[in-house]
Amino acid sequence: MGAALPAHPPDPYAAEYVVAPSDDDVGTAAGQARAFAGGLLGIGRDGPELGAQGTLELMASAYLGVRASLAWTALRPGGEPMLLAASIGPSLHLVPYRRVDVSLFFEGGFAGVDLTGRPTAMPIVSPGLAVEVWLTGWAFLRGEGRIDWGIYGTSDAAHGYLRLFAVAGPGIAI
Amino acid sequence: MKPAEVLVLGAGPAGLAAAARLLERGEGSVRVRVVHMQDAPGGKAASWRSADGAIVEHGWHMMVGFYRNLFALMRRAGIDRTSAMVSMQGQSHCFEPWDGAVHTLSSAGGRLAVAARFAAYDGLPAVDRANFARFMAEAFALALSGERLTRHDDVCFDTWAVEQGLRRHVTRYSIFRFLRLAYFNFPEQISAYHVLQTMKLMSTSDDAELFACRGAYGEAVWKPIADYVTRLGAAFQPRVFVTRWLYDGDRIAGVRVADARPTGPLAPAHDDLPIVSGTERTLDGFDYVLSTLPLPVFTAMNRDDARMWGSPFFRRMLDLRSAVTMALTVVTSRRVPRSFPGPLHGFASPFDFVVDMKPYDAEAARDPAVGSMLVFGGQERGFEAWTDEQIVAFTLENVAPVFGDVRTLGIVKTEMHRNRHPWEQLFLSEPGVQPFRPDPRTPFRNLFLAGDWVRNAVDVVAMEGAVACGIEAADRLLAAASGGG
Repeated sequence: MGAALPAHPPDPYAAEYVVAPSDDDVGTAAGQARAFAGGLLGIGRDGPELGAQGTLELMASAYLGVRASLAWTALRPGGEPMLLAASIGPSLHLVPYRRVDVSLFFEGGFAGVDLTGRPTAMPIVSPGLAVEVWLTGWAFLRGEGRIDWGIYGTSDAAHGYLRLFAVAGPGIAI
Repeated sequence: MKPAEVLVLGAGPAGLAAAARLLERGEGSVRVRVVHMQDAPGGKAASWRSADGAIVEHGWHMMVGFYRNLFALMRRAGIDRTSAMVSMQGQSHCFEPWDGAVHTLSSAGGRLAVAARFAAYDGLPAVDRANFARFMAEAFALALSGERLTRHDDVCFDTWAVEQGLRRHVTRYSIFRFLRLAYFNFPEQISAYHVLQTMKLMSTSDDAELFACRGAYGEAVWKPIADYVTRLGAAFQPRVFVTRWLYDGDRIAGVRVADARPTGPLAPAHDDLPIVSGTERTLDGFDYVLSTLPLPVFTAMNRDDARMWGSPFFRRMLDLRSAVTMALTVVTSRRVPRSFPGPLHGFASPFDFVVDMKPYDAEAARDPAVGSMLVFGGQERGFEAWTDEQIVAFTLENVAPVFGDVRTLGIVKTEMHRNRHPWEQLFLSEPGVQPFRPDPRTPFRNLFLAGDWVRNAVDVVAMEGAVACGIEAADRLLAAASGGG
């Protein structure tokens, strides 16, 4: 071994090198890419229906994002059309950089209805509201409610489509 | 028509580039005299020879692929870049204390590859890596988007990154800190503009290539350039220290100077100005002055002159700061157990990076008594009261996780210096500096400014920034001399 080195004062910047996530380093932030998947409970004219939804969201700023969703109803009452809907639209986050965030969104897109019978395309609009609770800096739970509205046609008539959906599930953000 | 007499103050990269430009473009319309304070040219990139013949640099320097103006000047001066400089294989490295490993950053491949490799840096845990990759991809995209990057100057890079969604603790990893260390800013913050501008400048593998000098910078680069400028017709006056402006209205009429005592790492330490008393005199007889004086020297001149320093143009300079850089060389008789091409970052301040110069320095490479030549760089802030011995001990502790106990390799030499004098300090590119950095043109119609602290097309604190600024100032001066500016 070499000669003993002289003692030195403590490193004035030791704290600068500590890599530890802070408990409050959570929440919606600019630039985030977020993925969310949830179970979907819909309420239609003929009763409840069940499905799933996946959403990708890119945050252009801490407040404004663009989200795209894919929703699918798996179980529904006999009178209701099956739905596979893809929609995209802006989102407005009201409480970024906080553990609990509330956002409004307005998506628009197309849905294929009655996929097992005679499929027909239907334009839809989906305004809604989401609440998310951040568990860590990258994982959150989200619940959202939205209204899907559209008009679709069958061989003999035009039908209005109106659903109130509740979606809940986990999400991640990078 | 009588040629315009131009007095260039300083023979660092900016002064040499300015003098060369004036004579190359002036086409006989200017005569250039260069006065500088040291024996040899180079300014803050100068080098010396110690009594035993060893090279002593002001600090560790490298050249980067985007130094186009400097490379072009070297070419015109007849310097064969391939013999003067050696590539460091397109690599730099980061030591990450959290995993105790060294991670390599390579600049090989095209533009996308450089960004992708940076974004895919493997020195972070998976979740943080994803966050870092997303952020870096976005930052590179912004840097290359053509957007006016100066709008990001007023915020520090850490805060800017958090605003873009980088999780706060990720700014503590070495890979992130390195972006701020690159300009000797740590523990100060660095402007987001300067980091984004660097990403823009270093976005291709050619532009990001790092080069080390095979020998002393002064001998390999600055002296041949000064010789070239002399061949163009310039006259050099070494050992002249500038102390005061003499002006008449909006024109600099004279410059007070004195003979300079020896300065640099080998000169005796002194607290006062390095001037020989009784040698004060006035330089006059010039039409224009092109000053490349470092910021702390410039702002010390005429400080009792309320008229000059009360004017908005000059007053804002007083808010700019400089950093005291430090250099440490540790030569061992046996090789360090691990060697990396290029610089290795990520150690605790004050010496946050190290380069083993054994393969690059021609004299060390052929000297069998030199096993490794570890050259460290950093900034002094926070360690002003520490002795050199304490800093060396601390630094060797810091590098032990990578190199082991360096003392067991047989230390044959340690050499450390702190660049505390005003003429040695490096401009600090803090957040919000851009509005305070002057343009080359000043309210004195015959005074032009250049240097890394003056705004220029490159704008980052590097030799290339100084050279680009020297060229720009020379062009402005020539335009003014021809009645066009």
